[in-house]
Amino acid sequence: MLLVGLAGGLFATWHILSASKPPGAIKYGSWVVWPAAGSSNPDPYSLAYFARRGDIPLAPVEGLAFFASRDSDDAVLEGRCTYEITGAFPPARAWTLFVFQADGRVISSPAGRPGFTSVETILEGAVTRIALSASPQTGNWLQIPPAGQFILALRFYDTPLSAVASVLDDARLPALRRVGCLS
Amino acid sequence: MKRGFFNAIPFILGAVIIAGLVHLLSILLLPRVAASNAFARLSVNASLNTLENLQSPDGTKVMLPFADPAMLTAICHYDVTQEPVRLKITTGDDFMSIVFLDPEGKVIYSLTDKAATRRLIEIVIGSPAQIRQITIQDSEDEAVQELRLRLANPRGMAIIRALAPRSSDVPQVSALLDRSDCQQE
Repeated sequence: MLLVGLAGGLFATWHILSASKPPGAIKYGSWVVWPAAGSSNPDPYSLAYFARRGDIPLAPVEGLAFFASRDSDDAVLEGRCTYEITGAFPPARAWTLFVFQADGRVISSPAGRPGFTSVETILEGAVTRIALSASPQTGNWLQIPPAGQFILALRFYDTPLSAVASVLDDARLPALRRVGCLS
Repeated sequence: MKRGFFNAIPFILGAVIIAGLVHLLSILLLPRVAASNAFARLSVNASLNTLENLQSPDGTKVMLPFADPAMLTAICHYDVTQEPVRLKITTGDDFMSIVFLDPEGKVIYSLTDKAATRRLIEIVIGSPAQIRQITIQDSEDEAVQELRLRLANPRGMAIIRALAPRSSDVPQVSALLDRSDCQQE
């Protein structure tokens, strides 16, 4: 009984922290955010999640970090596909968008930094369109690995969003759509 | 068969209760025991009470998983058991932030470059008794320019992050971190 309980409890912890949206996280479209993780009063699940992953969550005064491992149709992000990020970006002093391997390492990109910051993109009004693919495209192009899964991190620094994270709606974050895939 | 099932009920209930307790305990203990948490990774090679620019050529080059590549980082692994520690952070045009972590990785205090006066943020960290001692010595005529932080845990880490919006901004932003400082009083 003791052994079954011990194994079951540890399995539950592992299973819950490995979920695509663990407790403490909020999902907006493709984007997952842990609004309380970097606060001075974090919930135990968020604290455990970041302790296991090994990075430092953003404090509410710094901004908000959104992570995406799935597209708007809930399919896993894969390098053999092309994607586009479209829509209005929420107000912030700066934002950054970077591509990571599933284990959290930055992908190596011959094109320089594997990502974008708000000063580097071409804005069409308030709307940004960013194309994601392994091979080059015109306009705002973000290189993704040619194969395998990847994770996107979209961070907003100095943003009024922090205060309203609990009532943020999908429409205020850019959409992450799959355009096509190589079979 | 039926009888066997009823006999198993106490066993199942017991296992479920133990599993629940183990799950709760492991969630609460994980930040304390995780060898791979941010604090443990960053403090491996960090000397105490000095500011270390992780970008500098002789830096430890620790890259935390999912860390923002556009953010340059400096750390100050502090211990105020003996003396309080003073941080001086030089800010620039772009976003900068300072967070204080306890050894479990919990953010105990955070601020951004908005808190700077004349491009400088000065923070004195110490035990409640040390900070009280400093406050007693304040001159009544002069306004206090520095922030003072009372720490419940004498050990921790200050993480200073500075945004380099373009790759070409990296040397300039890294120089800001080099000009910053963390020292025992």
